[in-house]
Amino acid sequence: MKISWLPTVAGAAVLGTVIRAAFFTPLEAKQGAAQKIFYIHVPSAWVAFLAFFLVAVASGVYLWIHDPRLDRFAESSAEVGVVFTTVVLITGPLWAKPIWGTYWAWWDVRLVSTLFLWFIYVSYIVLRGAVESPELRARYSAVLGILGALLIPFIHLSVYLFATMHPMPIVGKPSAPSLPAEMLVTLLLSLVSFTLLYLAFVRSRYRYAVERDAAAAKREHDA
Amino acid sequence: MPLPQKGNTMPDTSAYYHLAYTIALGIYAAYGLSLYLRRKRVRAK
Repeated sequence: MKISWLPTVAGAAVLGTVIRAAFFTPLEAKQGAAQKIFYIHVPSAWVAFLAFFLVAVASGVYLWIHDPRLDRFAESSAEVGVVFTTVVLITGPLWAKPIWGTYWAWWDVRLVSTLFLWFIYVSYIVLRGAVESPELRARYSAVLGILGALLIPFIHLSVYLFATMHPMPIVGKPSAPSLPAEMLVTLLLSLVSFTLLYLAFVRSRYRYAVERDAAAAKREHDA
Repeated sequence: MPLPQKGNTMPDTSAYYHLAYTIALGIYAAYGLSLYLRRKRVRAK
């Protein structure tokens, strides 16, 4: 069996991040061990936003030049983004319960808008499965892919615009990061390793889409 | 060496931490495996 370097490096980087977070990063004084959920929750959210942003970029360019490779990339990035958002929506409540005393708050705009983002891109995947014509499928899903990504800046700014239990950004803000050095290094490592994991997933998902389309074209040719 | 103090102020929240890591890494591993199996299936056709 041939071993692909990118999934191997990404897997090793994620494993290294988990080991560093578990054994070489200090406990937070007030939250205890639950705060370590930070090192998978935040990078998963970063990758989800990156994935959906790239869906919008690829979709926009697709509507312009109609290159099927861009549609395949958007399809791949959207699916991977849904996986990362699922992790965000599970790890967030598991962190919230011991700290806020509740898993979820329906009035909290940050939480609910993230759930809406997940629904939009799940709809994107369902839409792709429902439209048979490749050209129409690509065009409809490109429009939805662009509209869905408009929610991303709103989600990021929601903690400034509305009353929320969710903390303000402690790294992704104009001023210096508000985090002790050991925690900051672990966070930066996690951002790099989860981005590598995104690249490995998207590359594999894109290759699957190419092989699937080639097999479909061959079946059509043979029929 | 300080004497042990009663009334630890830090709650034990490790169960949530372990559960979150297990689920998250499980989801990523399952997705990676699903990609591998889907590619294997499409190549076999």
